[in-house]
Amino acid sequence: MDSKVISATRNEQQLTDTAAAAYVITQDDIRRSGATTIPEALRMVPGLHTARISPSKWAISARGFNGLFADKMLVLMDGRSLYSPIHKGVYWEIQDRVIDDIERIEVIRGPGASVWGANAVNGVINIISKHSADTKEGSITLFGGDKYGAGLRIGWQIADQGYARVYGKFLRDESFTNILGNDAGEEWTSGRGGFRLDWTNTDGKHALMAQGDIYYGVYNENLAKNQAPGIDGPENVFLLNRVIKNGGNILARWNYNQSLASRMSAQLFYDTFQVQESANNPGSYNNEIVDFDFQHVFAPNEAHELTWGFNYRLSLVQLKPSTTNSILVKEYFPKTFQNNRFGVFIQDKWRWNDDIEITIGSKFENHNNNDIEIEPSARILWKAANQHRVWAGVSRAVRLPAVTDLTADKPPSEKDVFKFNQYAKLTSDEVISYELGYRFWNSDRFSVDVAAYYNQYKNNLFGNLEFVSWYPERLTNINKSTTLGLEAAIVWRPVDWTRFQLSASVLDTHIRSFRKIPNVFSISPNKDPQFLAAFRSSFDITREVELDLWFRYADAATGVLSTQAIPGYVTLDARLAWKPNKNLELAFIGNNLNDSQHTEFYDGTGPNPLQVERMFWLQGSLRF
Amino acid sequence: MSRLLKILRFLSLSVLLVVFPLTGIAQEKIFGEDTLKALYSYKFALFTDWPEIKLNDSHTTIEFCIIGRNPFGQTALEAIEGKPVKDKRLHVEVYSNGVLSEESLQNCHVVFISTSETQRLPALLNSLQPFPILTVSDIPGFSNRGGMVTFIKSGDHIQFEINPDAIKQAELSISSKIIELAKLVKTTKEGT
Repeated sequence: MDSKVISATRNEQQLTDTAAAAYVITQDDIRRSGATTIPEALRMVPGLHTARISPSKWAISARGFNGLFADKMLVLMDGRSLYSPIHKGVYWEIQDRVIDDIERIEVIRGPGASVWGANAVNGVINIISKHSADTKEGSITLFGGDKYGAGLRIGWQIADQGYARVYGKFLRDESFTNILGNDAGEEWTSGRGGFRLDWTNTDGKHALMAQGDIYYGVYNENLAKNQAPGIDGPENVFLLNRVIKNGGNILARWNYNQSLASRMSAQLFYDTFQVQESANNPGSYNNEIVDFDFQHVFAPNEAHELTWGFNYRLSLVQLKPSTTNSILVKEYFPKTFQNNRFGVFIQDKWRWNDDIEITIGSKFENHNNNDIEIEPSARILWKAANQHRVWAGVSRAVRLPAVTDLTADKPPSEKDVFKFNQYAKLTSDEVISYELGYRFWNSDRFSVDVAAYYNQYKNNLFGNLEFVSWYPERLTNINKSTTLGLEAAIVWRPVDWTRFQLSASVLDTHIRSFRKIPNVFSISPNKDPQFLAAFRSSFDITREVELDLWFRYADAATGVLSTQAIPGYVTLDARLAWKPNKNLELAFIGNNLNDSQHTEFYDGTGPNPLQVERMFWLQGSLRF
Repeated sequence: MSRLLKILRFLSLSVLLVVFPLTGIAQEKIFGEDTLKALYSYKFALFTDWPEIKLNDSHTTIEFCIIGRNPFGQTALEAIEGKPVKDKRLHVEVYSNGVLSEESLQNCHVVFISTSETQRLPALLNSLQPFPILTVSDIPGFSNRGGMVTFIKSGDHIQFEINPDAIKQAELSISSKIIELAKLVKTTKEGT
């Protein structure tokens, strides 16, 4: 409860006094979870459905409509948006860092569009890396077992107030079996490297930060062999498809502390990404993004804190589909699509009196697909008593259509009816969200955090099947829907050396009406479990020995077709660590201990769902 | 923990603080470093004299302003919130993102600068210098750079450095009882 949160208002504030459903994963939480990648760490967020589809694919979303193409979460890494204009969501497999370089991960459930803009519909995930002054010591991590990898970071001081670090990371994960229990053959191998520089001038008024990453990853998908009895040849429609994803990014930010009452920042980033599919006939898709962002916060008087800013994003999406993919070829040919997006936002945090804080703001955005999109938000925080906080909010957020969205002008039963949104004809889908929350904490021993929401969606566009074989009957087409949900987390530290966290969330989705067309989607609410629960416990058995146990439960999901139903499951993860001194840590980690294999999520993109296996690995970390 | 117990612990701490120079082995186990720093900060407020202009009726509380991330934790702040100082009550305000209006600043009696603001410390001290505000921090070398009171963690102890010149310049005075416990330092890097 002592954490700070920047993602709710773009300004740092106390977690306890945040008028939004916020959760912070600390570096220590990540370390003790045994996570080797970012998505694994996100599993600990109450109310965030984090399900693994294959070694490289994840479905991560809060408050419903989850899927491989989950398109309602805005994910940021050090201020850089990870929302892919091709995927209309996040390619989770390519988002990684040396785990020790992550300072914290903030997760806001609920809209964040009034400051972040479009696509922050159901939530914002903000991955924040450490300042390079905090990584002056080197670190090396090696792990091996059912998955293996290595991470190396070297940091140093380069000037009086200048610091730098470089990192490299390698990961190979070949877990997962298919439904017959055979190796799924979808192993994910990736390598990446990057840097961060921080520099501050002598009077502390100006600070510069620059960082960059490059990465390369390979996996196989839709391997038909041994998937089902009688299917064992490459002649099957589900060919072994070798997918290569690579890219890089570079970001620079300037912070200017004009005075005690005013500070501003400007940020520029460039991001490039390419995915190549090379079955018999390669297709490739790539995008380039240039984004400029400016923000100014100032306090004109005691009662108000005003923040305003603007953002411009240019994205280029180039599609070079495989000639075997008749729909894509017909629609696109090789072509580049340009997207411009410009937005301004303004926000006032008004301390009405000692007990009540009101935050009102809106973003106004212009995009290829719309004239202007208004994304307002009004939130109130009531400091009801010492250690008791009540908050409420109403907000609107939109998801902007992407060029790869599908539309159709004939009934889906006919052939070749699908078209892509290349002429920017689709309208945004929107949510109006009503939220209510309560927090209580008693010192650092006990805390309760509860949030309830009612969301009204209109013109929902739940993503599509991207560039893969698909079945028209699986497509659903929703116009209006509502979700109602409750999320709760309790943290209890009975003694210094023990910590428990119990969390649970329920979700109830109602489809109010279906559309006749023109927007066509493959993602449906039927893939969301209606109930999620987790219990995490951490014990410092001695000064040197740590034990962590983590239970998770996900309710059954019906699936779009009955054959796609995912039964409910329970998993148990454990970590036993020995820290003989402050620089060395050895950990033995096991995942899914209670079950040799189970399916967490099925998105219909392979012939059958894949299954997460029981896994063990040893991990050693050394600081030098 | 009962209120009575809290008060008793606090009283015992106060006695220890004044009677024994710079101890802290036992108390830190009880309170934790954060709470202890918050309590020390309150102690400094008790032993500081502000010019009349900061104590007149326009100030209904003694404002303890934290610039940057709250380094004490919520619990520690609650331990000092509302405590009496010079016939007024101490009120803690956290400016997490480091932005506060001129007006808010004028209301502050004590400003605690969090380590999150280390890099812009020179600029912060510059803006604070003309005012009769007690500046406290746990940024290493804070007092040498023109700040007034610095917490230092040496082993398991919390000690502090005081820059008497900086206090005098700000037209404040701090009780000799506190000064005797501190390591006195001078501003060495003027204007940096």
